[in-house]
Amino acid sequence: MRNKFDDELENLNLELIKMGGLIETSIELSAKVLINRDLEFIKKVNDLEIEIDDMEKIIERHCLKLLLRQQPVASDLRVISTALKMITDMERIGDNACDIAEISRFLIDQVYIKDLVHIPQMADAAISMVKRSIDAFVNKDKELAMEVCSDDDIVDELFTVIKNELIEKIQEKAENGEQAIDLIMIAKYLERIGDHAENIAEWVIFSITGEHKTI
Amino acid sequence: MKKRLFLVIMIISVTASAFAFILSVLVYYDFYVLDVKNQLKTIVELSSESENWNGKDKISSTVNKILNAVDYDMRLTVINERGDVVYDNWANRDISENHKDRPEITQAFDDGIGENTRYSHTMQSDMYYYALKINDSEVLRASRKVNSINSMFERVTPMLLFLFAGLLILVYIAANSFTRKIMKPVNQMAESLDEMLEGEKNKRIEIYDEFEPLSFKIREQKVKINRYIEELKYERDTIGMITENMREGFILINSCKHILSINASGKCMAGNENFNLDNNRNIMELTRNFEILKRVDASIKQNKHIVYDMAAGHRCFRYYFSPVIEQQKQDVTGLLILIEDVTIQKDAEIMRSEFSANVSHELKTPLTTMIGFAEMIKEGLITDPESIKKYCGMINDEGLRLIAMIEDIIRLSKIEGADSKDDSLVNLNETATEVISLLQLKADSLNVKLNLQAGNVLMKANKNYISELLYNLVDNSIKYNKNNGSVNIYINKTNKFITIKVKDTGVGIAEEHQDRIFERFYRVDKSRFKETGGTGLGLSIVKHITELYGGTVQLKSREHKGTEITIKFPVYGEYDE
Repeated sequence: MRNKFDDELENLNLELIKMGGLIETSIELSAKVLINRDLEFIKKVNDLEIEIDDMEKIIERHCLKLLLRQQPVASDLRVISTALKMITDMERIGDNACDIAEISRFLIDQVYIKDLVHIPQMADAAISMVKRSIDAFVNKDKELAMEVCSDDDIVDELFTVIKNELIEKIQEKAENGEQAIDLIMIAKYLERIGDHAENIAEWVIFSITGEHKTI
Repeated sequence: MKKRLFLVIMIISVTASAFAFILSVLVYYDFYVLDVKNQLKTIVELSSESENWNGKDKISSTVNKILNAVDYDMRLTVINERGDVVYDNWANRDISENHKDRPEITQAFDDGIGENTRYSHTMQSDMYYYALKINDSEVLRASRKVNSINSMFERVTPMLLFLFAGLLILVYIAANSFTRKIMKPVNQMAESLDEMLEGEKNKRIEIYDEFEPLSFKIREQKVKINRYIEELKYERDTIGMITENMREGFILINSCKHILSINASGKCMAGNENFNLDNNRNIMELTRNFEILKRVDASIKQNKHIVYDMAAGHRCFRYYFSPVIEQQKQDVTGLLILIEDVTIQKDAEIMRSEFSANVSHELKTPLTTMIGFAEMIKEGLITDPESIKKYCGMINDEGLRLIAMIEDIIRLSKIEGADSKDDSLVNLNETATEVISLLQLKADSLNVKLNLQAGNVLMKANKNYISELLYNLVDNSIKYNKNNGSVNIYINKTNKFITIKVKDTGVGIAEEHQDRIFERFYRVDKSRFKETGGTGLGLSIVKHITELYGGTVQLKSREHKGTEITIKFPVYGEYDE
């Protein structure tokens, strides 16, 4: 017979998965706003952001309740403390996705100073990182989590490439400056999302092995 | 079993020995009392000579004699008829009182002999009294202590306890060995049950006859169970095979949304190919798609069947959510999710709607032109006979184009519904030559060379269709060619295939259009068809004719380099030459 604590742990797990699904959708939609210039998703991203914040509070309360009432030890304690850390990163990803959508709103009626090539690539890479970090959490897959950690370099490199491109554009024409700054901010947010995904992956590794390495 | 046996034996032996003890003590006590009385009687009777009791000295010597002869305490009293004690060897112990009312004394004075047993407060125990009249005025009374029956028991009890202890050990050993002996064949039977049941009927183990029906029954049950297991296994394998080989995704979850069963296609379609089904894995661990999870919830809660189409990448999946309801009960006990790949249907749907839009557009364009010119003439805007002639010519051209298009559409639908009744042997070489001669003029005007390399190939088909097919292919190659270009037609036959290859040096087709050029009314360059003419149905007709004869169309093309279309018909049996 399963006891109450096990049930609670499973519920916590499901809540985390649900929150993971929310941030995935949120970041996908904000990328759509940016790349496909689709305004209708902005409201959805904002709604999702509120839902993600609620979810964070719910999970936090749940974790603290478990810690206080059940006084878990060993791996159970690890799972709960991991959950507490993960939701912070998840919530930040939700915020960043929302920020991207917000900046994209201003860009929608502007002509891009250059065709977006690397930013969509970066968005894809960041989305894939978030997706895989949550997959790694769901399947308790250490290898996948490690893969996500190393993929952060790709996102970082893309950020440098984008930065250099935009510097060139500003040098070409000073009027490009305003849009270039918006674009660099989007790139920075994507880079942050990559970092948070990496953090999640690190916490996944911690919950499996009990060792947290800050690379 | 052992405990019980031990207990039973113990109880029986303890009660039996206790009863035996009690009975023997009772009997022995009777004997003892009788013996006490008799001894006393004998002594008194023997010493009752009256001269023995005459005078103090005589009495003392007699009493001493008697007391020396017996080894127990004894009281001897001589009482006169007034009840006064004349002599008592226990006089120092007892306060002499009147003995007249003692029953044995009264009796002795009356009958000569008297006896009584009663509790003596002086001695704190039962005493037996025997009185005898020794002369007219005196009675001799002897008395002696009689042990009570309780004191007998008191003495016997320790022995009895020893006996019980001994019994305990004995019974324990006996019970142990008995149980072992009784259980041995049963244990043996249990141990060799598997062998016994595996059909080795010859192998008999030593069992009690009383167990024979039991072992028979067990054997029978085992056969039955084996049969059930086989049936269940077969059923499970069948269901497993069916679900695993299904192209559709199959997911079964219970009301807690734990996945009970999922097939490979299901994992694939849910986008989680590496999902392994352990115990209690929630559907959320399979997919985090909210649209799906929302409908899972809705279907379970509201107990209704839901169909949902979801695009995943380039594919489109249709999800069927069917609640599972246990018979008798009204509650939903699970949910069956079937996923069907409806990409082809969706594409076909899109193509169909595009087709009808295209058809109406294509048919409307010439009509609009015609009506425009006709109105201008009717309203008298054009009066110049030369211009009227020119515009009528244009109306005529558009009309002809319209008819050509409608004919193409009719042909296309005919080909779609054609059967092989009017098939005959067609010489592909001859047909190709005919087609080339028809198109030679057009080719010359566009400065395109036509080359035919064909063996004597025969094919069972409708000649009109084959001619149509070649005409369309060659016509396209001429139309979309360059100045000084060429069109090469190869026709040959192997054991398996008849191959028709038309290769040109024309403009080629960009990669993004290559998938779609066989669709009806599809044009690579929407603005060009005015100058080249045509209905946009040519390649579509080619494709339909090819498919009618079970063939395949292969397109190889590079932009600005040329196009090569290869058609392969499979050969069924020998019918040439």
